Amino acid sequence: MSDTPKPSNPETPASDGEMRHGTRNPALHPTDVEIRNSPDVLEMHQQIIREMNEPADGVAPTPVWLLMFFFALIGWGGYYIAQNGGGFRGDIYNEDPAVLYRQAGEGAAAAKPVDLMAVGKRTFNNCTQCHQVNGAGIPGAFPPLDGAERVSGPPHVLAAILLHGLHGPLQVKGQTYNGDMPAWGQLSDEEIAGVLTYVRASWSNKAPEVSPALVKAMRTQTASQTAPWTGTALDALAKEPPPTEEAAPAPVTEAKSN
Amino acid sequence: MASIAVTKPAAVDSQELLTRVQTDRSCRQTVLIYYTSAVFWLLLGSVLAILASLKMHIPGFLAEWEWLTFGRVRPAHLTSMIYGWAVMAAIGTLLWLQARMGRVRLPLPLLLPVSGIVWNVGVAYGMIAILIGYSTSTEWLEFPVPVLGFFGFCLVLVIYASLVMMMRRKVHHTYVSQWYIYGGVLWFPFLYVSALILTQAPHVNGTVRAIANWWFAHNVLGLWLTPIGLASAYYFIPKVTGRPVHSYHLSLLGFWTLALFYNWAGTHHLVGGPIPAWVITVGIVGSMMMFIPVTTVAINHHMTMLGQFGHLKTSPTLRFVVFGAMSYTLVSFHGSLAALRSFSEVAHFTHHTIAHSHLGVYCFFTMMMFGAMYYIFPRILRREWSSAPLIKVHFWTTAIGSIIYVVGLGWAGLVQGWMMNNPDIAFMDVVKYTIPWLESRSVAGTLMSIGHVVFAILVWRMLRGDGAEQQGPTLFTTARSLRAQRERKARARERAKGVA
Repeated sequence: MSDTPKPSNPETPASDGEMRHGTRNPALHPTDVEIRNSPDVLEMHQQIIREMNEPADGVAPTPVWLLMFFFALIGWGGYYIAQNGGGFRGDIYNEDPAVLYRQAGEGAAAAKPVDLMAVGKRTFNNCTQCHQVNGAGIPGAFPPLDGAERVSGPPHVLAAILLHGLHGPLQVKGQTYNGDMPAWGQLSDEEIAGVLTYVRASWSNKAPEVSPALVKAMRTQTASQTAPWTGTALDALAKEPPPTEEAAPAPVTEAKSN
Repeated sequence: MASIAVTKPAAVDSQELLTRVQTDRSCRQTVLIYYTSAVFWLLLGSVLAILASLKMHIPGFLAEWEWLTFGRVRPAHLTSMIYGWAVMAAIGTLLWLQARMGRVRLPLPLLLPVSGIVWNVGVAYGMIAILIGYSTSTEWLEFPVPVLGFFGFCLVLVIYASLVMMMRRKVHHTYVSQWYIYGGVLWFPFLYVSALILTQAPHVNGTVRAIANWWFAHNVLGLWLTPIGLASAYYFIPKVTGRPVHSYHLSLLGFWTLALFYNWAGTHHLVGGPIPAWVITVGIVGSMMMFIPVTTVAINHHMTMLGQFGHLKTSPTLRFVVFGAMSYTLVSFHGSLAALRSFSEVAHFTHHTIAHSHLGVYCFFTMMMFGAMYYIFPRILRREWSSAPLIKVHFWTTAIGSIIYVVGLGWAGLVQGWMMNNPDIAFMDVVKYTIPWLESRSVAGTLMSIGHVVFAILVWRMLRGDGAEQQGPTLFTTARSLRAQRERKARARERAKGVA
């Protein structure tokens, strides 16, 4: 990287001074001489040029077909944003235009019913510690759910157990269990209905599903209860008629906020 | 004054030549520091890349050292390549181009070389932090936040130098490469600082970080590497072929539509993610709108090259630059289409994305920087490259390696996506399917790394002064080799005649 003068190249004269005073002709270095004397001078012309002029701009016009294509593309962009842009709203996560443009009334009707089995299967993860994944429980400690009489019995009793828990001796499939089951009232009506539907339809159980409305009604009816259920109280409850359900409220959908 | 125009195009005046010599000399130390450091990080990044690639199909490879586990080697590879290689090569190139096109000397002759050293310290600090486990684990921003101090210092100087060269320029008319460089120089620091705040600040949480992360990661490519890469293409293609750029109007359209649309594109990486639908939709539309600048630039470059493709046989610079320019068209068209929801549902989270990013950062940007370096090194050092065959080896290993890489992983990624979308196929079967393609990636990466070593040897020999006594540029086909080739053919003909 020293600045000592070197044999000059066409584009890199050894120093500014030489350039300014024109004491040397940078074009006449040996390669140039060789090239000029070569019979192929025309063909080589392009290759020996060390450096061309600084780039310049041409003035060819923009092709019309290109502009047409661009306008079409921009048109598509507008259409796509209108269709899939969710109206630029922060609370719409689904690009499906049906979500945005659905009317409120249609929305309620078209809303998909909740899959209670799916909700229940997920919620049942809370239960497997004691009742096990296969619903068999642990003999002598935790009662089974698979084939248990109460599981396929009146659903409002089951809802009551989940809402407030259990305490004391309980007869299940001819065995007596003396333990505690915690209350699960913190779960939503939908989750309780889901988990009940799941255990009633899994393994060898074949009982019908439980609606969230029933759970809701049961929650209202037993709102004042603070202690867990006992085996005898449950048997009494089983003989009572189930609470009256209110009409199921329409599930909340995105369309409601439109 | 000497008549240089004998072997030059008309209208080269000697004052212009003198200015050229002076600007090249003013750039020498700064560009040299940035360029040689870039080559160092390129080599280190290649080693880390091969390690990461091998670990994908030999999981136990070097697994006993925690600082060489995949989770550290991979981000170390990425940051070494982006902040070590790509950004340093970009800064060196843009400073030289600025001085050249403005016909001004590089300002800050002391501070700019220092900035090159400071940048190296920043990258080294960040790399060590990643390898010992202090990565921020935000992709493309893995360096610990204090690295911003080092980078910020350098970027302020680079912005200042760019603006000063703009103000002092001797030619009133600005050339398209200058627009891209000013764009990139002003966009990148803004991107880096805002992305750091939006991903690392304590009270920014959740999906906002993901949005900011992809906005940044995509824009590093689009609003920093792309402008510098395109500025190089716009400069070197007309420079080497000696023809004006096809159309000023297309240049204008291409630049402003890039500036307008690219910034929106990043969020297409979040298709299917838990963020408002409009953010993704706008990202997809922004990506598709990139057809406008890319088509424009592709036409402009192609029409400039039309009839000049013979130069590819002789000029190393042009060969790398044209490879890069073609890859730019390809990667951008592919990126636009890959942003669509229907495509993304298959290709997202597969090796296809990796192939795409290498098509962009390697086949486009890295090859472009190789081309620029082949042009700029001899001018700032006033020496020639010592070996044309070695340059050929460099070109073909990197070109073939990167093609194997992109085609192999691109295809494997698509099949992987289709298999993963089919619930009947077990996940392990999908993994097993990709193994041969991951091995092909290791082969491709090794080829590319061989090219990098060859390039490093060429740079080393240039620094040592091997090409100092040589007269005239190092071209693939020189006047001498052309004549030798012709004589060989003539002798062969005569021999054939003799036999007959």
